[in-house]
Amino acid sequence: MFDGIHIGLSALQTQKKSIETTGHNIANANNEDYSRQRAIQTAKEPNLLAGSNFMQGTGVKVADIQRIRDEFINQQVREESQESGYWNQIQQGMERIEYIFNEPSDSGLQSAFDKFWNSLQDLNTYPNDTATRAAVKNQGMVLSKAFRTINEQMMDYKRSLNNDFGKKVSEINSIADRISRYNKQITTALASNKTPNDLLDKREALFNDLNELATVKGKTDKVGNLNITIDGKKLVSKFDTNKLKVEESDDHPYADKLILDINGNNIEVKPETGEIRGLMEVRDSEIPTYLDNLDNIAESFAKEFNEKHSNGFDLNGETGNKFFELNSNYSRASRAIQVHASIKAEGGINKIAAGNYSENPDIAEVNIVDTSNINKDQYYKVEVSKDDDKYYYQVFEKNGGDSSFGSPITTGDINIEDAADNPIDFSSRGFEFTINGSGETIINLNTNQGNGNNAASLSKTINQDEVLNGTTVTNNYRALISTIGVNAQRADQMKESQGDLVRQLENIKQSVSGVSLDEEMANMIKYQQAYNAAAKLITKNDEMLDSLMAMIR
Amino acid sequence: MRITNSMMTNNMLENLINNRENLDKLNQQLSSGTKFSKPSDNPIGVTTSMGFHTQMNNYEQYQRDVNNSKSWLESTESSLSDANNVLQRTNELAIYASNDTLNPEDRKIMAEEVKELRDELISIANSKLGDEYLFSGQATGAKPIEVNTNYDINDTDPDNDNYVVYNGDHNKILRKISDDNQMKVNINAAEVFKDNIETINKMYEDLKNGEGGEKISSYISDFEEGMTTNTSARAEVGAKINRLDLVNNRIDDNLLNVKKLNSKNEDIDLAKLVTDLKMSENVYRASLSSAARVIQPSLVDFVK
Repeated sequence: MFDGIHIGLSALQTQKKSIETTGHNIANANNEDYSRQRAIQTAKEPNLLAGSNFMQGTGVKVADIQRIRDEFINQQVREESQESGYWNQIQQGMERIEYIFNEPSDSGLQSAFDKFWNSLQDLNTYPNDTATRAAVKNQGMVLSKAFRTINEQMMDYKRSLNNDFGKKVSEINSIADRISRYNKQITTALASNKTPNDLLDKREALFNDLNELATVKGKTDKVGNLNITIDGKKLVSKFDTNKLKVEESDDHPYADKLILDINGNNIEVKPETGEIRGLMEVRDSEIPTYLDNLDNIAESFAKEFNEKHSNGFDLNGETGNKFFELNSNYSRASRAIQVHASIKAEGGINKIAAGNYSENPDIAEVNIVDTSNINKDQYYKVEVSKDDDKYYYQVFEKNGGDSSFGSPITTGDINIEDAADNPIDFSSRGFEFTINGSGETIINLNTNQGNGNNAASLSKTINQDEVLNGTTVTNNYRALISTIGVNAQRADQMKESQGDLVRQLENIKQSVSGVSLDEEMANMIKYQQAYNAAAKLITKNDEMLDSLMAMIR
Repeated sequence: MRITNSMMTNNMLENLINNRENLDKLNQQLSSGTKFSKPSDNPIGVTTSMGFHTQMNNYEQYQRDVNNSKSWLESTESSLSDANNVLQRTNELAIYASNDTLNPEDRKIMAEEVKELRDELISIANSKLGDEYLFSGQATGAKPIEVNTNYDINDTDPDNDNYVVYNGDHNKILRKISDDNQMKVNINAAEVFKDNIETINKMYEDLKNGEGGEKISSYISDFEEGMTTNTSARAEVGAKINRLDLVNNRIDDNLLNVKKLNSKNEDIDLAKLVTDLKMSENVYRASLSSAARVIQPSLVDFVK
């Protein structure tokens, strides 16, 4: 007789539990890490009806509260978010590097090169004009400063990346630590046959975060521990963690290494991907590569420019010194390049070597060896022709402007490859000259102020002389900008597409595990109706009992 | 696919962000007037554009350089032309003075004029452009023609019987007029003035001393030679000015070409951009209004 009431009661309890689960789902509708839960209803053990072969139902119970999830999709989301984290970092880094180079603009290195070239062209026209000389010095300083600014900003960025690296490492440690604590709670709960759904969600959320940071692999053991390895080495093992730490690199500044401390043994780990890997790549590969490139440009430009400069003579008629110098306190040329102290000093603009003894130093360049033998009224004409591997030269002379060049005073030949190191000796006349190319040039050893021949030759170091990698310095620089642009573009695209992929997978994951309010509402109504019906059942049973009791009265 | 509420909100948000980014990109292009602002926007385009800008800068510099050379040559030309007038006048006087009918008084008066002409030619030879002497070679700070301090017409030492000395050098002033070409822009006073000055001076001395017509007439051929030299120097300078005009025209053409190419490479197509922008705005509006619908009633609103 009371069975009916028992059945009704079990139904009331079960529907209430189910409504509570629905409520829990609704409450967590906007919780990203939450997997929706479902109360699994099952019929209670039936009773054998006395005196028959029939089994009679005894009502309903909640067998389990299940998390609805697809482990395969979840794993995919994690794997792809490692890659996504990696590209996010690379993209961020490349964007920053682009800003540092600041091209195209009126304030970048290219524009500094252009303006320096302008000042040298002006120097060719006005070799003894103070304002023009001052402009050459100033534009030279602007150019070297442009190199240094890029270098400094790149190094600053590298340093800040190295700081971020340390922060990310402690983040990994903190996550690993929390996961190990959840391991303890979860295994305890599982041991007593409880389903710690929400704890599992929280642990998984942490594991997902960890995946964005670095390549990690996780495996759940039989008792419910999530054990994690990084680069094949144990990071979380049951309730214990191995700590990651950073170690300064001996070889490079701001290039800390990632070290895993396993019971006092320090092992270097190199995650394949993830944010931390992206960060290391920008820090240890992108930035140094571009800086190396910039160093080459700065160094070869300064070297070529100085060589030409020291071939000319200045306003005082003295042989030129260096125009640029590399500050020995710095190893990178792009940081070390500066205008030479002698040019920057008081009256230094007069030391800019605008003049050249040779009308065209690209054909023959003169080196004074003995000033006492020099006749400043003497003119020498050098004619150079070349065939396969030899220069053939003829030298003529005349005195002053009156006479004309007669028959050659010297003829000879020299192997092209030896020419640079073997000057043609004219020491009896106070000088020697080196052959640089074929053609005709006039050499004269007076050092008058209107001589701008060297300025014309100096301006060629920027746009015409093949100084590095078989091309000009500015072409090299543009190639560098193009490389940065291509890499940054690729990083943009990869970040975009990887982000899309993760979002799609997240959508699929949400589609399985996310809470749908419509669904929950429908369930709520369903459970509510069942609850109402069960209550009615109890009422009816009560009425039946009343009827029975009335019979007895 | 089972669609949950948060999926719809997330997707909506994602699309909204994308549309905003797109709108921002177009707005940036519109306000900057260029298709790209950083290398990754278009690596090839950016480096090409950098090359064009350098070229434009170079052409503009060469325009200035060529104009500077041209004004140097034009000053040279006008000095030579003035010198020609002086020579013509001295030549006339020489022809006139060859006539023995002139009396010594007339010759002395004439001597005064010749003296003035001599000094005028010296001052023409010492013409300047800015602070630079035009006719002293590369020694642009040195006055090219100065009166010889040891001057004595009767001294046999050739250093002393010249009235003037040339202080400049015989170097060429070379100006870069393109990446591969240099042009000599100067003529020095020793080539075009010194001999004439000496001749005029000799004529002056002779007239002063009352020499006869025969002596004076010997200078006529010198003056004629002097004028020929002068004319051919002017022709050379004139030819150079013409060449610089051609160079300038070519630079103008090249500059225009590069500007066109550059504009094609980096400038936005305004009509297209404005259309695109309008489209994007519409899409953005649409996505906003669809967003308003996504945050829509669910069954919650209907369960009482």
